[in-house]
Amino acid sequence: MAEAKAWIEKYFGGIPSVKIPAKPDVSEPRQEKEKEFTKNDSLANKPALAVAYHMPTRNTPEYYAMGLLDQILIQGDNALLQKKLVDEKGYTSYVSGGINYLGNMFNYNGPMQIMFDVTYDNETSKKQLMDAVDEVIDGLSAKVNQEMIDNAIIKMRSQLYDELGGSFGFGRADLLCSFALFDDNPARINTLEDEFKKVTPEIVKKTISEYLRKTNRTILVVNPLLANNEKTN
Amino acid sequence: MKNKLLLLLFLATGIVGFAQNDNAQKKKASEFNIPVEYYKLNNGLKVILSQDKSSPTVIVAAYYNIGFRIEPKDRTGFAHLFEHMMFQGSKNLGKMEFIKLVQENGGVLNGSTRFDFTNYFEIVPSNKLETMLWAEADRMKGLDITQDNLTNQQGVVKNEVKVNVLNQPYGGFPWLDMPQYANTNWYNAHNF
Repeated sequence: MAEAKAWIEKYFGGIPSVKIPAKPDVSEPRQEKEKEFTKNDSLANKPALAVAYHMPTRNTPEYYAMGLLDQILIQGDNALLQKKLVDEKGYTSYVSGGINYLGNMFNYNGPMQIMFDVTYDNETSKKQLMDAVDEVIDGLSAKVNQEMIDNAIIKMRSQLYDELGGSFGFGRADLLCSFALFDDNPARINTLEDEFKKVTPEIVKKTISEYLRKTNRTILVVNPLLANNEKTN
Repeated sequence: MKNKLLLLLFLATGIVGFAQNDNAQKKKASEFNIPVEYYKLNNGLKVILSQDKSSPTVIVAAYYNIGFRIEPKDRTGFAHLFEHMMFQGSKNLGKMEFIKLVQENGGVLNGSTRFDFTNYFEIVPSNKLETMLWAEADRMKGLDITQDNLTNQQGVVKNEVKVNVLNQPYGGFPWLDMPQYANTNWYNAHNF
């Protein structure tokens, strides 16, 4: 370690500092109305749908609660949206999703959405899908209890360990660097689990009520322009 | 050149090896404990060391405080373009030599541009740590920004979008599309 430090000083120590430019204001206002958009896709032959809800501010109790809600709703075979849309309704074969599609819930620093997306058959309607989604989300608050949270924490830990060991251990370097860069505190890596354990059913319910409301979401539908092309079906 | 310097110097360099140390193993199995040593050089560079002895490899990661949503309005695309330029050589290492240096030592490397940072990393046998620190510092100090390299990589970046996004079914859906629809602040919502 002493050798590594000496090399770091030797090679990086002489690089001059420069003034860091001011970070732009990237804040987002509270969304008050549900938004919906359609994207024409000239290469797709099946429709697809994505639903995104704005995330709570990073590192707040609600943020950690949303991390658990990601586990409860989206991640793994026992997640409620998987069970509803795949197992029960058979609308799709898989629900993709999570917090930060370009990384994970820890390595961003600003507004973000929790999102999920599915592809589905032309015979299934967007309304059928969204009705099923709403059935899950609308009924969620009443189901929240400590056991649900405990199970979500186990899944969260498992995913966190996967990420830390991922890419030959690079996941660990990624979180250490992210926390140094964003929070000036890479040791946060060792307190993540405690933050999730602090989440109570009340915080989860509060998070559902404020952040999983319809007026906080954006729906994006892919309109498949090749849907009726015989060669692609 | 000025812009490049603005991108530098505010990074975290992490050096990570593998394995729990003895102390960590003695702790409860449920406890999560990664060794973290954190300090700053006089120039402000943040340094993190995290030792792991489970395999004779070392990871060098350099994170720069510039991502595609925090770029200045008149400089969008620079973070990604510089990510590419970082592999095009410096005054000391010619084009492709950085990549060869890692790969011919049995290592792997990559870089990426994210919302709030660009990163570069190498995973190499641990006896090559000094070499990698030298090479990472070398390209931090200065790149070989020639018109040829720039034109070449502008083309590469443009074609990345064409191949991976524009000419793919569901290309950009939803990872690239949704931020543009869900957000209202230009920094989050512009077409990256």
